[in-house]
Amino acid sequence: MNRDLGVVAGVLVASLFGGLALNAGELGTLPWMLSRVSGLVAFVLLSSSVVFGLLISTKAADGVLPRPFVFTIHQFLSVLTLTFLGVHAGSLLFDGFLHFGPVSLVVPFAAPYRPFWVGLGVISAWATAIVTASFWMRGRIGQKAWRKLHYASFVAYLLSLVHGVTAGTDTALPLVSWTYVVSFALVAALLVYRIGLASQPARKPVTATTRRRSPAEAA
Amino acid sequence: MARKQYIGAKLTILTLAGAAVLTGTAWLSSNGQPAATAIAATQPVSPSSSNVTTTISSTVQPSQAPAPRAKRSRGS
Repeated sequence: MNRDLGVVAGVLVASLFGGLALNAGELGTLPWMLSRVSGLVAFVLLSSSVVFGLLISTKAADGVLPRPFVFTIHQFLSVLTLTFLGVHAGSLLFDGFLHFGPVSLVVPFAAPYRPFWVGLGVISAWATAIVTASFWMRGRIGQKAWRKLHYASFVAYLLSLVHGVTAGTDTALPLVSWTYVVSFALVAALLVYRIGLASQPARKPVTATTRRRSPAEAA
Repeated sequence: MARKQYIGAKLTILTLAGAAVLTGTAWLSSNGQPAATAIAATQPVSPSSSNVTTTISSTVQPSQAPAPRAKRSRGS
């Protein structure tokens, strides 16, 4: 069924680009508008994926949502982020003003428009792609390497935020600026909570050990 | 049962994201600015660059006015 969803999403994206290619001469500003909106949606999806990932590592959603469900949605959001990133970048190929080429979409700092800030977005997209691909390489690379690789998702998130704020033309819109603020606040709060938890684990085994030893000591 | 819930949640997310793109694109198409205007609006304007623009506009004939491209209109 997951494959079915993937096929549906793939067909939709292929239809979209097919339609764009067939009508390239009459599209006007449509690719530009589509790129702006899909970029923002991709950012929201990436933020949600990071939040769901942090909900897993902090166990903050335990008792509210089953952990396998949270993990499945976290993985699905990552894949969907890549899909919308594809739409965000791909639609720029059809824009008649900015003149993006295939190379400038995949090579950092090669863009004709704000190369540095767009380059950060390209790096973020690559990092997102690598982290997402690692879901299926977990068995091969091992749990430790997979976890370390997963830290790249924070880099991807931060770079996408900076890219959106600096290269995006809609940052001044209240809806967009508030999206950035709320997203960053959520991720930062969960990350601080996660770091706080990581500094505590030494206490728990001691407590558990103490509890186990108590009866023996009493005896 | 769990699988159905997972599929339902995924379909909901997919639908919401797709609807957001379609609605946003439709809204921008009727209310948004084209690339040239939107990009020009976000360019930081320094006092020196505004002087350049003033100089050009005072020396160029109206019939020779440049195309409304961001880079050209800013005299770079």
